[in-house]
Amino acid sequence: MFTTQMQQRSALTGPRQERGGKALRWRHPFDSAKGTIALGVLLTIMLVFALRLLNG
Amino acid sequence: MDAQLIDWLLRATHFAAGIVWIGHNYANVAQRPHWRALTREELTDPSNPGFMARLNREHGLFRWAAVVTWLAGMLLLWRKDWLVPALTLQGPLAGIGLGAWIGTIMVLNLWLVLWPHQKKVLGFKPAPVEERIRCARVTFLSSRTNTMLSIPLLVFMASGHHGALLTG
Repeated sequence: MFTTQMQQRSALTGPRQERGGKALRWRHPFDSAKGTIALGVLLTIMLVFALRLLNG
Repeated sequence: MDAQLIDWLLRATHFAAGIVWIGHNYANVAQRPHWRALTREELTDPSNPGFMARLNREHGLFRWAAVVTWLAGMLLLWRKDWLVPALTLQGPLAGIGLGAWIGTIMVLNLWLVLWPHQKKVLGFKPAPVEERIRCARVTFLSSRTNTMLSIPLLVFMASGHHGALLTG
């Protein structure tokens, strides 16, 4: 009974691999060119707003 | 020498050296858009094509171009009496000042983080293979940090004549 409950719980909340899907592996945004450029654009937008606030 | 001529030469040097430095960084991104870990074989066999490619890419020109870019930029600001107001982010000079700060961080990142680790990766400085593999990851992240920072850097540097747009 206990094992069955654990199995049921694992099937719902366990790691994705246990739920029958592919394991999610966190990748650093810098590991792809797109991620690097996206972060650069985001940083630029944030800095522009920060500068406008500073001099506002 | 005419003051305007000196300013023009400094500006041209700043642009040219900047293109050599940042251009090298972008060429690296285009050639290797995704991270791939170095293998033990690549580091223990000096004739390995992957290792040879890394070795051939290493050139002091890019590192010194960064120093020339930074020096020419700072000298240009100083000659115009813009250095202090720019670095303290005052008024319309705030944009170019922020660009100067980002550029300074990039030069320090290159010389104090990337280069010491790259020396180990390429075997210029003796280190165990495991350490060299770890250093390869550090150099990659350090290089990509500069790629990311180059975007706001170029935006703020190009905003020199449009400072009011950024500072409100």
